[in-house]
Amino acid sequence: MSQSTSPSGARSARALALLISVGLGIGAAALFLQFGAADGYQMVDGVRAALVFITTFWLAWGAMQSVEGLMSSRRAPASLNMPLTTRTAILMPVYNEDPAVVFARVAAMDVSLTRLGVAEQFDFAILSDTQNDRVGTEEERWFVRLWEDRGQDARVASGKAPRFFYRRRARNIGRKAGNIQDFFETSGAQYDFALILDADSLMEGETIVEMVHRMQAAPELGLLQTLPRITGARSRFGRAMQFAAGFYSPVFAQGQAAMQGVTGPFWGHNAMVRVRAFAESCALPELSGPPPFGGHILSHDYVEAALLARAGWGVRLDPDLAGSYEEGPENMIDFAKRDRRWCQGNLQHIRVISAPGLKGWSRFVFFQGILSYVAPLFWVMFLASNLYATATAPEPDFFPEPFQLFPVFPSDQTSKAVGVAVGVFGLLVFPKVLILLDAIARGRVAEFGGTVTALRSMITELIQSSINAPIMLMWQTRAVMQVVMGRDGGWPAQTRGDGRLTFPEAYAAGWWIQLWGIVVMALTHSFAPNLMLWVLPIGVPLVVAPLVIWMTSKPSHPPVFLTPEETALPQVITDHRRIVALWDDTSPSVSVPNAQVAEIPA
Amino acid sequence: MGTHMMMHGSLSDAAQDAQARAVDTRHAEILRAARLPHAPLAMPRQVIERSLADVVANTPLLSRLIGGLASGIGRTARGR
Repeated sequence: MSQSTSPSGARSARALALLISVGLGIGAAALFLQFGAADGYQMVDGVRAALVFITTFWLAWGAMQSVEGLMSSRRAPASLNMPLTTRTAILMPVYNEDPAVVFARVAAMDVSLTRLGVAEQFDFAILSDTQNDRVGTEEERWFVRLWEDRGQDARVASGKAPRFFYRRRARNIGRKAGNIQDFFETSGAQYDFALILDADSLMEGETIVEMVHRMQAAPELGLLQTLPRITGARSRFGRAMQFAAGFYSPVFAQGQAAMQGVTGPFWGHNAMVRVRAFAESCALPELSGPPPFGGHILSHDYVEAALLARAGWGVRLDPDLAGSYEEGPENMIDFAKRDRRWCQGNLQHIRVISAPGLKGWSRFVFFQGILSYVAPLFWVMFLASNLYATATAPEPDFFPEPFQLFPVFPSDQTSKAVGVAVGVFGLLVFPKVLILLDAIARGRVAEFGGTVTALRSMITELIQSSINAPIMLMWQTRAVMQVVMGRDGGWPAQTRGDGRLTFPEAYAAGWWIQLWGIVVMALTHSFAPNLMLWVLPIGVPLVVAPLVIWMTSKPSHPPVFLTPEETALPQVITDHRRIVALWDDTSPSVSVPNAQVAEIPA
Repeated sequence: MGTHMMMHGSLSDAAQDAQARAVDTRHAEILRAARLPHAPLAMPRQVIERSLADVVANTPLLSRLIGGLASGIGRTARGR
């Protein structure tokens, strides 16, 4: 084990994080109250202080995850050398995806397992929920290609059962969760474990085998989650996210793992479940009432993790497991679309938070997820309340007493507001600086191009994310408002590709944000001009939002944002690219009966 | 000449049709062989929503208080 997952260790980590976060929140609120009430206490000062408490607490809670991550031991455990005595199904759910690219991922993972000589212990099942018949037909054709490439004819001819399966549901009841459930109800009894993937997932054979080892060694473990690394990004936005996921996320995930212990997370993919545990605890009901709060549970993964923990199974995040990959959104619009879905899913957890028998920590995780989408609203309210407070502040009274000889100047508490602002900025930057220092001390920085390149990447990412943040805040606020007003976001297919946008596309997505930016700046200029300097870091990105959306979708090249996967392409990704290129050369439609198709070498 | 070309075209079309049918048959065979194995496993439907009376009867006081607060939020959402 790479981190303490004992209940007492997790409790200590939670208590420390909670204590410091609440302390910092109270401190910031008290300072701000002194500043706000300098000209006499008004109701709005109390509201502002409360908002400062909530937002500071939330930022501090995030920062504490990195501190906990840095404090925990991150020595990778010795690999468990034991025979594989179990059978594992590797599940690839697909929904209107490009079948050639997705099925090539299946082939690449099988190549990786074959190289290790353990492929016999693993079957692959492509679980299609595709509703588009044209894509469905393509899937069938590319599956035939996969079948031939992986030598399944010879296998079946020798009397062995095939190792590759394909099933397409006519109706995608329950979406991805229903898709997985359908597999377990049809074929679950044949397997001990199931590795649940997404259509963009790729995992090294060594990682899959190590996960099976860990599951075999811990019979109480119901789910083992890896920390997937983002790969294949090409745009400025995508590569910044890829760098952040590679450089910061392992430390944050380590902190999260330390705090969650065996009540860990499930992120819906790149995770292995014990089939029996999952089957007996994770059949999700439909929530009463219509969407967005009723109907199918959208963010099913969090709920499944909570239900496993409720049934007494361990759910663990092992961030030390390398060789787990996924792809990320390439531009801000795709990010916002995904975020809209996650927002609805997380807010729907309001219905699940009171489910009977859940562990306290599981309820807290739901609360945390809800707060992560509601928090931007607090920032918006904070901005609005400051504009209101400044606009309605009474004129200073220099002669409060009659016949007073000398004027009384109001106490200047501006330094306290500046202190709070610096503190808030520090909470955003401090964890990143600590992670950089830690990476330098441990030599991890070499994987990111060395100290200078990593520092440059960090600063560029910081500037870019500071500019993006107010725009994201607007999208999140709109998403929350849409969900609260009962608008269902549906289940749009994921957008893949290089994500490059034209300016008209960026403008169509961002004009309303620009409009809000102009309104905020105009209001500040008219009613609270002395706040203009404070509002500029938010107002300017809003006003130029379409430009930012467009610019960040443009291609980006190393050395900035260099990641280890760009320096040395992982074997499974190399294999995937090779297979895609090979398949590109020959269309599956020309495949003829009994044709000799060369199997992809391991 | 024209008849010969037409016959040649028809033969070629017939050969292509036969090949297409053979491809379709083979694809169908593979897809049949690749059906999910039959090894069903029961997945009992989990209880997530519970009536208030049930909660009161089966939960200790402190948990009930916390649960009551949480489900209050849930009921508000449900009422939408």
